[in-house]
Amino acid sequence: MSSPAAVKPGKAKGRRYLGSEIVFNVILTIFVLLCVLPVIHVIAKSMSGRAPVLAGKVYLIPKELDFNAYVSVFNDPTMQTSMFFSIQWTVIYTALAMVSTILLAYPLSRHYLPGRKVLMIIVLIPMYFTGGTIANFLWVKQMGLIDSPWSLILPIMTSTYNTIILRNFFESVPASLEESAKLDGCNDMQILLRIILPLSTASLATIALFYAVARWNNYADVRYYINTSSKFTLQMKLYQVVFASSSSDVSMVEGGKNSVLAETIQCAAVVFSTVPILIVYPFLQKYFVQGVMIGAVKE
Amino acid sequence: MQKKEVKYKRMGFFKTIKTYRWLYLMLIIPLTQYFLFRYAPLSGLQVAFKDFSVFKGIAKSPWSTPIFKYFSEVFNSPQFWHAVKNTVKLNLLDLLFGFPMPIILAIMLYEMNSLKLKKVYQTLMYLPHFLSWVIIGSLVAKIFGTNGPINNLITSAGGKSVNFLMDEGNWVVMYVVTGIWQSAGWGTIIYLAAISGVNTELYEAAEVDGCGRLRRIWYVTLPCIMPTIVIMLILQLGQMVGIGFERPYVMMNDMVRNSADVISTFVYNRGILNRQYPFATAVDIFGSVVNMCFVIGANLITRRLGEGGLF
Amino acid sequence: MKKILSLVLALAMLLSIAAIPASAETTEVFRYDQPITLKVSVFDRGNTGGTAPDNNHWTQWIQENFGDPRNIKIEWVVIPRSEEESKLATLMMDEASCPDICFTYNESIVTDYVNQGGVYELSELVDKYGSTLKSFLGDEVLEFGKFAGGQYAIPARRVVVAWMGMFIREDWVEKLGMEMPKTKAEFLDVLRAFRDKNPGNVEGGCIPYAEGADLRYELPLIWSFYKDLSQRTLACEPSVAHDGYEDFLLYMNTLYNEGLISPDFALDTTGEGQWNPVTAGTAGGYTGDYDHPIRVSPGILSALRAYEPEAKLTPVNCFESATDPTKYYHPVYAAAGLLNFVPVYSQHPEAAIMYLDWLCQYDTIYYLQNGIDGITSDLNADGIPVVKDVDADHHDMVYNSMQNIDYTLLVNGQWLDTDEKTMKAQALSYQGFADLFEEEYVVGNYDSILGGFHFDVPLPANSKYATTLADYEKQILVKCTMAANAEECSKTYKEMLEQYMAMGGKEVMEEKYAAWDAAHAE
Repeated sequence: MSSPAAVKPGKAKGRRYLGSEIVFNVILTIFVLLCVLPVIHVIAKSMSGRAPVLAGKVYLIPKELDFNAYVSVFNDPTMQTSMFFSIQWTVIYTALAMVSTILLAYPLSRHYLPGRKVLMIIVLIPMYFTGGTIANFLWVKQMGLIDSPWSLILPIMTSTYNTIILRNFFESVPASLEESAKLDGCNDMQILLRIILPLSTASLATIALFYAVARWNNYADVRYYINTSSKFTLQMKLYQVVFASSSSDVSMVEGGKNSVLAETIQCAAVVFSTVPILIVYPFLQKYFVQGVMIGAVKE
Repeated sequence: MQKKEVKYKRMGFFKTIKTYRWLYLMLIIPLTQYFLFRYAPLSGLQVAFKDFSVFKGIAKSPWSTPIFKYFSEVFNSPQFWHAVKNTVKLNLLDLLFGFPMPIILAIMLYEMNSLKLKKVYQTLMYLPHFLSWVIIGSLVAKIFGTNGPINNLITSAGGKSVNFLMDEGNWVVMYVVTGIWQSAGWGTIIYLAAISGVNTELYEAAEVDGCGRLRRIWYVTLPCIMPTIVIMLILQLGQMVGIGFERPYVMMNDMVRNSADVISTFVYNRGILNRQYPFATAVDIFGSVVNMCFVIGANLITRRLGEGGLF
Repeated sequence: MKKILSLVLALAMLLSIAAIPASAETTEVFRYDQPITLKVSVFDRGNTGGTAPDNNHWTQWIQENFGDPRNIKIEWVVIPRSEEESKLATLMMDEASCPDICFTYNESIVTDYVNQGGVYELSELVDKYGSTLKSFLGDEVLEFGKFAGGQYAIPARRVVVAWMGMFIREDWVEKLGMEMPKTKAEFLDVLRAFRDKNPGNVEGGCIPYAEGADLRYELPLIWSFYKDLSQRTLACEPSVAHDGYEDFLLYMNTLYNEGLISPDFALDTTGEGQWNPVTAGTAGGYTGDYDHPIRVSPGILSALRAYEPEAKLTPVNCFESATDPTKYYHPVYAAAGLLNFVPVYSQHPEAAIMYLDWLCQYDTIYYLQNGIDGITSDLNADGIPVVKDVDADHHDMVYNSMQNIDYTLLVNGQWLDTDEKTMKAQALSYQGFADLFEEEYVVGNYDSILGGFHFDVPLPANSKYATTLADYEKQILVKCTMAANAEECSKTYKEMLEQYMAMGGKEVMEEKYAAWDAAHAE
């Protein structure tokens, strides 16, 4: 493992390590700016008027404020349908996935469980050995799930990766709690529900977000499994708008052509489809760091 | 976090089930899902060994003669090896440059003094992770295009416009950089969690011994989070021959096909668009087998080195 | 009193006869005893502001007028336009969701499925249930759906066979005091003038000619370089291997290196990057279907004129042929368009044929293309319906595709019962650009050569390699165009051509020659 940063020789052992402080802060600031600026750029473009966007003059601030693109997007009934469909099924998916993951991670975290090693292997293999698109498609079809929203839920209901994270967290709960509960006569299910889960909110919140984001952003399975347009998720719609449509003309609603630029519409569509997640995650952010532990920490 | 020493009580089979019945009960739902949707579909891998026709279905399609016909077609295809080469190359670059980034960022974040700023930075750093590749692909094309904002800035500063996306070398750089951009901030979560689990007494001891900040990081922080790093490394190595489809696909253009065509896009082209199902499935099988080898190998090595492993 | 009454009665009777809706069936229709389902594919173009392609006024009308009388429930299977081929492939893998009526423009896909025995042979059903269909399409068109002697596909009839056009801003040309180009060399001069003098006053300079990543369709230009224009060569030899193709690449290379086309054309995989600058007025020209600028969707010229009312996008006719400089060849489509077929999964192929037959009836086509007088179209003085935009109250009657082609599966173009009326209607369907239509039509058909070929026998190599080869052809085009100079361009071309032939191109070509010669041997 190479050194992440060259060791600066002979730094003064002052109370504040000013040198590294500055370097760290600068690097972090640059990185954060890089993360944020493109997003701001898209937002700015989505609200800008025709001429500045065309001339490429919009950088971070909207020029000639113009919300026509959003009007188009909001007025589009198919966009609305997709939004509701996506939210609804993301919530369902997250709930089911959480249940399944908890029920898998907890037994795995109990080291005394006979067969745990075998279990671990059973759980790990599918992470690397998959059927691939075609075999998966044929199977989903076999199960009669084509064009059903359940095809977007059941096949991916438990993620091995998330299970490992949760398992590790469960492992870190002090054993004494379990022992005393057992002495009081609780069975494993009660221990899980009454003791472990309440202590695990950080981890649970994090994993719930992992699942929600994954489901929200994934459109590959929608492409193959869904045939009805009312069941397209928002990202699938977005894929069409950004990559595949002849959206040069817009607003067939009003009598004339609204002449909103395709580019602006695309930016508005991007903002539209990312906003739900952006609203949710800052609330859950405080849980993230506490919630995720992978691997033991060496003493 | 300490691992308990597990003492097995030798019990009979039924007694075992009875004692741990709740735990086994819990496993029913998830294991059913696993078997139904992770293992059962593997039966579809037969397609690689058959002259598969969608109209006959898997069962009625005849076995191909010779049985490994499609595998040999795969291995004899120069485009296939080319795709493999590209996949491994891009993944190695991701490993080299992308893997350390979240670790570095996490350490730096941890060392930050201002708590408020730290929180703000964290929130902002996670932002790119929420954008789907569709969005990022179009973003990149617009921002780094010949007349995009970046090139505009360069030319107005007197430089020559750079061909970011249509030159093969530059494209590879853009590919890796956007990957880092999308995932590094989010990746800090895992490492931050590990770092915050480090016993602060160790830090104090190190300071007493005369370590500066950087030495402290090198000699205390890193070794303590090594098990986490190792697990993440193994997980990533296991994807050496696999590669997501969306990232290369949305960023690809005809000028860079040579470097951008990877296994996933190759399978998509041949398998889905060209309807060569047995061929594509054979490629998938190959990929899975190689990945398994990598994972097992990496796990063995790290165990030997005493750093613990995935299993 | 009595007299008035009887007059009124007579009038009432006359009026009531006249009031019988045009779509009333006068012949008996076959009605199923038990309700059946018919799944029909429909394209989804993803237009923002359109309607759901599987649920709007047109689908309801079709259900009421075709489905209900026959006790057929129509289900629509949505196919995103850009995913047409991959979606079709996935649908064909699943008998439960596969539509009864599938379609594609790609003949090699149909042959592939025919070879595997996955498509119904339709001649008997057409004889029994498709009389209107037969008379509407005619033998020539139906021939394009025949493979190995069997009628496996029902092709759509093209009203207009003109194919591609290359358009430039004539108003810019006029501003520069120049004339529309008459030769390839003059074309270059005009583009250079656009670049240097920026007649459109575009900030930062204009794009003289906008291009997208798919250069295969600059047809009037490409074909002008071909030295062998015999049907046999055109049909069987891959375009990249044609004698003269290299000259085309060199020409494009010049265009690129002189900054006469979009610098980022290679990044534009959807074609949109090509249209956007044109609509915005920052580009001096582009390539598209022969009537593309005046098409209602995507409405390029109308969007452009909203900001520049004097803008003119005029087709050029200046690519003199390498074989004969007085000729300006334009390849045209074969008379057949979309290939409709019925997969073997279908439980009711006869219902599929009934539907296709119904789609060939005058009243059906009339309604789908023109809708209701006053709302979606207006009858003009000649009695020809002129299509127009709907108002907000009738949003569900929006046309997602021009001339509602996504529903009129068997006709490509505005159609009325006589040729003369058809042409007039076609012109008028462009909502205000009827005069431009004529000009584009003439240019598109100028010195026409048939560019679409049909092979009646199975071509296994073609089915296997067609898509990969098409992909590679696009790469050749992009790489050679972007080569640093002419030598690089030629060198790259030769290398990639070799590769193309080695990866299946030669096999496909030989297969086609064999099939052609066999079919034409007397």
